[in-house]
Amino acid sequence: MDIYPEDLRCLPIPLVGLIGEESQKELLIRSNIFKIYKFVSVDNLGSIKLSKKTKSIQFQESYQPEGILKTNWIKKHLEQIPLIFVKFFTAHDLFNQENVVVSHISTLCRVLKERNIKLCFIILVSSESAITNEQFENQLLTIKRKTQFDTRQCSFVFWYESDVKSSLQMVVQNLKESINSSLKERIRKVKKNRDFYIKKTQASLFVRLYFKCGFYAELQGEYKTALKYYLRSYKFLSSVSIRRTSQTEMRAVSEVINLKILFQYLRLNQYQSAVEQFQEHITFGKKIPKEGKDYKFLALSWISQQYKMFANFLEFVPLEKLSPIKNCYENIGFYYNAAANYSTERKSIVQTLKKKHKKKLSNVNVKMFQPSTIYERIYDFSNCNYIGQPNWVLTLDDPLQVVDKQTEDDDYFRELYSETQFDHSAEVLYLLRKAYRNYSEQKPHSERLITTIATRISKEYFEEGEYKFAKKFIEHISETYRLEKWYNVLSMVLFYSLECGLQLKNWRDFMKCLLELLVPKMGVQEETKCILQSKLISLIKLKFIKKDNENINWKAENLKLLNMNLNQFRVNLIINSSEWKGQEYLKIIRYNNNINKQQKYLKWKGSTSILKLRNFTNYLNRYSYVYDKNKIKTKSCNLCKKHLNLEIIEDIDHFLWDCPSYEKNRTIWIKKLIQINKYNKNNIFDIIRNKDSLFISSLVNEKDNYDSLLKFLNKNLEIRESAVKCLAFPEFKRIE
Amino acid sequence: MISTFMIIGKDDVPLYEASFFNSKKQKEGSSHLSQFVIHAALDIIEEKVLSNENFFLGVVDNFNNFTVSAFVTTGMVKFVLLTENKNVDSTKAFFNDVYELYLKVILNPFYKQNSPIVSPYFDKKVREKFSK
Repeated sequence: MDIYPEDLRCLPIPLVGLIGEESQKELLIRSNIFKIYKFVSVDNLGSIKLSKKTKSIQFQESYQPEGILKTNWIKKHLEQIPLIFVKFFTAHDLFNQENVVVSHISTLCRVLKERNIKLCFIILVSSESAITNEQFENQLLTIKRKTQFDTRQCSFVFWYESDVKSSLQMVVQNLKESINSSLKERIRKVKKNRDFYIKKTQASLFVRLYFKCGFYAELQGEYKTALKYYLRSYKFLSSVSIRRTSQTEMRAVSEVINLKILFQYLRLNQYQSAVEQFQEHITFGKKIPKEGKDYKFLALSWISQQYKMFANFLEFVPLEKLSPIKNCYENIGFYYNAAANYSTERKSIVQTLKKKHKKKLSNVNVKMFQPSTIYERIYDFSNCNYIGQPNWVLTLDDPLQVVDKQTEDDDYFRELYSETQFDHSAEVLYLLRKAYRNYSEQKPHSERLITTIATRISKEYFEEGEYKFAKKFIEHISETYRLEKWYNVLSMVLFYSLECGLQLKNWRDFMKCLLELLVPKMGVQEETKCILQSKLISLIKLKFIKKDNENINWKAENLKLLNMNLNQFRVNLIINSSEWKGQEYLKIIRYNNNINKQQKYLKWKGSTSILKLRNFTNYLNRYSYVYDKNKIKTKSCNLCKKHLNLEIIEDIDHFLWDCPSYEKNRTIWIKKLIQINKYNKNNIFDIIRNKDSLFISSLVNEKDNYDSLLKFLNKNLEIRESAVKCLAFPEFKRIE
Repeated sequence: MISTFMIIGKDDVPLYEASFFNSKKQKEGSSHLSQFVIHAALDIIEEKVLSNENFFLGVVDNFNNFTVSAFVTTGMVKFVLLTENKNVDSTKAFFNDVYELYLKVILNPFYKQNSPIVSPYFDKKVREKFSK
C-alpha cells in the first residue's frame, strides 16, 4: 500500500484556511474537536495559489482531454486550496476600525466568491451579554450592508472569551455546515457538465466527472454517496476508447478508482462487496488490450501489483470479519500467492527477453533513465501531469534533444532495461513469504497449500544460489509429499535437494537424495537414473567428481561416509529387491561388505533404548516404499521379540499390531503379553480394547486361537474376570 | 504446463495420472508442475466437498491460464482435471464419463481398493474421452 501517494491511501480531510495571526488560531488547531479538519495558516490571500476562475467552456463534440485524471487534483484540494477561510475580528475592530474591516471583508468575499470558497468571520467578544445590546447589532448590520454581505457565502460566529468550550463547538458547527454546503454546490456544479458531454465519445470526461463527485462526497463523509459516484466513474472507464488513451493510463486510472471504491467498502464494512469489486477490477484489467506481444511483462507486473495491493488492503480488515473462511477468496494468503504467480511469470518473460536482446540492451544509454519500472513511476505523482502518463526522468543536459530522437523501438528497450534492473526474485520471495505466513496462521491449516508455497520459496532461493535457505524449506516439504506418496512431485523436490547437498558439500544429504531418487516408484526417467546411479557408485568409491580449485579433505570425507550406516542399510535393501537390477550393484555390495560397518549397524539396531527402537521403526515405516514391506515388518517384529520383557508395554504394542508374525500367532503373543503384564492388567486390556488391533475379531475368526486363549483364561480366573470387565466388545460377550 | 487428469485415492494418494499433450514441445516438459498444482488444490477440494452436495465441484483453483476442476465420488475418490479449457459443461461431461469407467474398474474382482489403476483399457478410454 505504501507505493501509493498518501493522498490516495488516507481518508481525505477538508482543508481550512486561517487568515491573520490571532492567538485563537492556535486554540483551533490544538483543539481535539477540530481534528476532523486540516488547517493551513495564511497571512494573506496572495500567498495562496488559488485555482483559476471557472471559465464557461463551450464544449464541443470533438473535445478530448489530454488525460483522464490530473495528478495534482486531489493534492490541490487536500493541501493547497482550502474549502473555507476563517478570519478573526475583535469587537474593538468592528467599532474603531470599521473601514478597515469593511474593505477586508469585501475584498475576501469578492476574490473567493468566484471560486466558490466559503468564509467564516469569527468575532471575538468578552461574553454573551456584550452582543445583546442594540449598538452592537446595529454596527454589525451596518458592516453587512456596506460589504453587501452574502449569507450563502459568508457567516459570522461569535467567540466568547468567557466560555471558550461552547465557542469552539459553535465554530465547528458553523464550519461543518459551510463545508458541506460548499461541497454540495461543487457536486451540483460538476454534475451540470453532464449535459454537455457525449457518452459515446467523451467517456473519459464522465470518468473524471464522477470521480470528482465521489471525492467531494468522500470529503463530506458521505461514504455511500461517494461509493455510488466512484462506481459510476469506474463503469464509464470501460467505455473509454483505447485508441485515445494508453493502456498504462487505463490501468493506472482504474487502479486509483478501484482503490477509492475499496476504501469506501471498508468504511461501510462491506467486505464481501470489496472482494467482488476486486475480482471485477482484475477482469477489467485483463481485458485491456496488450501493448504488443513483447510488452506482456507490463501487464503481468500490473496484475501482480493489484493482487499485492488487495492483500495489503485486506490486512486492514479485522480478522474476525473474514472468518469463518467460506472460500479461498477471503484469505489474504491467496492474494499474495496470486501476486507471486504473476511476478514469477513476469520474471521468466523478462529473463527470456534479456537473453534475446542482450546486445541491444547493452547499448541502452544507462544515464538516461532511472532504474524504476513503469508502475513505480506512475505512483510518483510529482513526476506526471495526468495519472498513468509518466514522464521519463532525464538526466541529460538537453532533454529535448533526447525526446526528439525517441522512437517506438527506443521506448521498448528503455522499458525492458528498467525491467531487467528490477529485483524480481526479491519481490517474488517477499510475496511468497507473506502468503506462507498468512496460510500458516489460518485455521484449519491448508497444509498442502503451505507445502506448495514452501516449495516455490525453496525454488526461488535455489535459483538465487541461497542453498542453505532452500535446503531448510525442502526438508519440511519433502516430508509431506513422501507421506502422501506423490512421487513425481517428490522427485522434483529431491532434485533441488540433491543440488543443494552438492553445493553445500553435505555428502550425507546428497547420498540420501540419490538413493531416494533411484527408488523404482519415483517419477525419474531411466536415463536420469543411470546418471544418478553412476554418481552414487563413484561417491561410494570415493572417487566423486572433484571440481578444479577445490581442496576437499578426502580423508575426512571418507570417515563421514563410513558412518553412513543408515544409507548403506538402504543400499542393501534396494539391491536385494528384485526390481532393481544390473551388474553395477554388485560393486556396491562389495563396498558394503565391510564387516565393521555391518557390526556398527547391528549394534545400533540392537539398542535397548525404546526411544531408539521407536525411531528406527518410524524410520522404516516412513521409507516403506523403499523397502519390501514384509522385510520391514519382520525386522520390527524381531526387534519386538527382543524387547518383550520391557516394562513399557504400550511401546511394544506399536510394533505388534503391524507385525506379520503376530498375525499368525496372535494367541501366543497375547498370552505372553498377559504373562509379562501380570501385575498391571489394565495396560494389556487397553491394548486389546483398541479397535485397530483387531484382536477380538481375529479370535472369533480363528477357532484354534480362540480355544487356546479360552483355556488359558480359564486357568487364570482372576485375569479372565478383569478381562470380561474391561472388554466391552459385543463379540467378546458373544464368545462368553 | 500441460493438461493433466488425475484420480486421487481416499488417502490422497495418486491412483492414476494422464497427461494430454498437444505438441511435441509439451511432451518434453515434465508433468511435475501439473501434479504440483493439483496437489495444492486438494485442500480447496476438501473444503468445497463439505459445502457441496454434487459430485462435480466445478472450478476449484486457478493457476495462470489453467483451471483446476474437481469431481468427488461418494467414496471420497477425487477426480481432478487441470486444463486450459474453461468450458464447464464439457468438463462435467468428461468427469461423468470417467466416473463410469472408474466404476467398471472398481467392480473388477482383481482390482484392490485404493491401489493404482494400471489398466491400459482404462487409460485408452480416458484419453479418448478427453480428446472428445
